[in-house]
Amino acid sequence: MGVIMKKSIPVVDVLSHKHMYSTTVAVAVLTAASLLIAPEATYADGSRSFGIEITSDDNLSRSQPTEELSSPGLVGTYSIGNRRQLSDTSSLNSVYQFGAAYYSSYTGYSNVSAEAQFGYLNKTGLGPNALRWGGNANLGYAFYSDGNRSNFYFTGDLSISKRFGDAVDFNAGYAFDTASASNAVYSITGHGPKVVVDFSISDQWLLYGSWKSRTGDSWMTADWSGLGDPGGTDKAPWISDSTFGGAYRAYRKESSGTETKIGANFVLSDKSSIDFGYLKRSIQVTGTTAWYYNNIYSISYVQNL
Amino acid sequence: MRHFIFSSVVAVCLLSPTAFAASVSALVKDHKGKPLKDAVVTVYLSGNQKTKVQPAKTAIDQIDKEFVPHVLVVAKGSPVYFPNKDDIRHHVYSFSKPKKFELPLYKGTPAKPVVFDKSGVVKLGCNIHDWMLGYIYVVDTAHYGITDKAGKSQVSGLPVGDVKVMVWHPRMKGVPEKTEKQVKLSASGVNSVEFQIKARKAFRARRAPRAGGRKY
Repeated sequence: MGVIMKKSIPVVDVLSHKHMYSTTVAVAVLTAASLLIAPEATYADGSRSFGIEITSDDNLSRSQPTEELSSPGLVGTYSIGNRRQLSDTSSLNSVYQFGAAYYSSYTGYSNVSAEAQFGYLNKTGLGPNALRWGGNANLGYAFYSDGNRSNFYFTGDLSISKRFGDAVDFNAGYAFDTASASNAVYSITGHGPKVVVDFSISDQWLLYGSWKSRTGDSWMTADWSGLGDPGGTDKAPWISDSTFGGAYRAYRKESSGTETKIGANFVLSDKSSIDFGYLKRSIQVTGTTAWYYNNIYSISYVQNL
Repeated sequence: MRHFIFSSVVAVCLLSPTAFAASVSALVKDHKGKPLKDAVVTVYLSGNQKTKVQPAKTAIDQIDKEFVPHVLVVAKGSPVYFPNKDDIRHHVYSFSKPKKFELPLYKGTPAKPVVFDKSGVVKLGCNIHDWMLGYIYVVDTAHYGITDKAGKSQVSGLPVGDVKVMVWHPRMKGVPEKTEKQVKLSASGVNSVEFQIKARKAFRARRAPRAGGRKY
């Protein structure tokens, strides 16, 4: 045992140094970018905000039914944003967001992240009901306690949106995401259409619903002493999942699925709001009858500073 | 000549301080009995009594990404300036029938004012900040007021006799004419008039940041 430990220590050290290096580089790049923008934020349409979210995910492990492992989570974010008006009808948003997430049951899933978000928006006419189109690109790095999961990620989308009357805001688009993780199991890519509808029922209350379809690959876990391999196409070699421990192994499969979210958002003031959300994720391993489902409840609060 | 002298005397009498000594104190509430701020109270003289509408230069500011005041009352023909007192640009516009206009992206105060030469409601917006909402109520009478937080407004300098009083509010259902009340004004005492109007829910694009999302 002692020999094994002696051999494993340098491996852990190497991994830690590798991740520390990646994290340092990522944070340095994003911080430099935010510093470049920050002086302008002082004079332009800038904002700073922080957010807190409490979540409960009944399938943090992304396992098939009967093997699901759940955890509550606490997420905090701090954002620096700036909107630059390019013309009468177009604007460029940039937000630099730093986040931390803590999952009490499986701390390997806890992470800190730094993300740069860029969005272009074009209104095709005057007024809140004018048709809008735009795109978003988010680039970030998340450093996990379980080093295998640490990853650079990119998400992007193109969408059109339209407000109807005073109450309804409709958005439809196509989204893309990719992650490059320390371990190939967690390096996933997907894409698909999405629809979001907001419905204001008063000046303060807004109800919303969103639906998103995703085709690509997903990481999942299974209890190797239980259901084991669900079949389908492996996209990376299986590994032991140190976050969930025991006989849990993580794998990456071709998959498709949907995310449906409903929620209610309440305006506390011009600078703050609170949100109550429920998200259902259903993912199927392509070519099999194996599914995993998530039910994620969340309460979040955001405050502009 | 006699006719001219007689007419002049009558006119002077009509315009004398004592002739315009009456006032109306209006209280405006919504259908739930809650006082309504920013309700415009207009008074129209009856019969042949008329006072000339006096256009006047005025302004509606943009401060902290809001129109200030939220509701401005002006006499028909008034020029209105739109000073932008924020350190960012605004893009003010209106689609309203009495005055369609657009002031593309600007800082500071545009050199030329916008003249409101037709009576009615002019709804203002900013194309950059969709939640910004303001109103200019253009009146064709010299006698008007706007309610405070308590829903109260006093219109003074009115002649003794019969007048028509009506109200308008941004959230009002229906037209001001349907609120019309005939009031007989006396020179002494308070001529009170109370309105209870049906008000819609307040809606505007959201300004607050969106919790649970990444929207800026």
